Amino acid sequence: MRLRPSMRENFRYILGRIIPDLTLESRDLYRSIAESVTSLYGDSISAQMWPSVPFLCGSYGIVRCRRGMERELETALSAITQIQGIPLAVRPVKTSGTIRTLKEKIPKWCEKQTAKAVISNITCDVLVSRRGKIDLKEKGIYHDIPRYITVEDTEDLYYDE
Amino acid sequence: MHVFDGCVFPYPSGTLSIARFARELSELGYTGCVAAGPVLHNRSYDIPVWAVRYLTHVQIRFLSREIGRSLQNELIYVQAGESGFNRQVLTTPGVQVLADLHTTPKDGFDRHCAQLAAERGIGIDLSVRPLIELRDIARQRVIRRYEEIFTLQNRYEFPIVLSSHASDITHLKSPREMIRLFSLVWKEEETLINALESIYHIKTRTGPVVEV
Repeated sequence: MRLRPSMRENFRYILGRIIPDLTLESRDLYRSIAESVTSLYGDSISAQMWPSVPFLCGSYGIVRCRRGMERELETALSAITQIQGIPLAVRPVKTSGTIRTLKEKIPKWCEKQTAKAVISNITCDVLVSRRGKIDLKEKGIYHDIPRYITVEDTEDLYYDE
Repeated sequence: MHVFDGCVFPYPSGTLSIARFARELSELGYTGCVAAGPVLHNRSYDIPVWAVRYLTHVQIRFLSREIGRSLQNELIYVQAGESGFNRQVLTTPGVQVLADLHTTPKDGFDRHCAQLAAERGIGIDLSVRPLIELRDIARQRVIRRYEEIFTLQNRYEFPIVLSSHASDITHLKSPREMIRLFSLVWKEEETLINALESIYHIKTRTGPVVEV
């Protein structure tokens, strides 16, 4: 049914950041949002909310809902613990009435650099992001050292060429 | 304004170092945090990090001894149990926060406990993790239990401490997210904002015990 512009539904858009940085498909994100909304608020609110994922770029996604339901959607985003079995979190960053405003908030470049770090006399491959945050890339060594550290926690750090 | 995360679990309990926790929480908008781990006092972090001694499964007769073993400036959190145990904990000097109330049996935290907590200024720690990790009946039970605690808080005005109990980067929640998630339980945002600040007031409190 085609409606006049004044009769169309108003939407709100929420920019969410996926933590840790992962690339997902929008339908996987949509499924977990729908599951989270339904388990928190039930089918009635879920049906009124009209959640959808119109845009997904890297670890940032824009989620749409009907105006007035953005608080519930933010809560549901915060309650997501996994997508397709991968443990992660979706952190609401900003809410707006247009997608363009939110797209301006998404960083244009990847800020992470690969490097080698020495921690507790163990050399590991790491990803260094802004403000000196370091994520270990290797798996299976996390019993000896923490997986997420800072530059100050390392004994030495060599950036890859 | 002092916005604190009530409790985080750094390495070795979690996957983040204390410095990384401090950085992440600083970026999220916190002004301090409480860490259940070895905090180095000679090292500076992005935000103030207070060490906590988190006592779990402790018998009441050993509680005073365990509190005596804690280091200077260390906060004492005690895991809650059944109501008799909780009353004993709340009357033990040195305890600052009673934690994990969602795991207590029904009526584990009653109005007597609420009154004792209010008199002695002992915080009641509410973790956000059961709200996001549990599903269905289990989550409904936690919401109901938390609502009871907020109702008692509304009457007796004891401090409530909101914490993420984060042990991984995915468990960290911003103050805004915490308020949103706890608004599932209690709608008054002012109470929730005060709860984010309460650990600072508990730590810096100097006044005597006041009978409510």
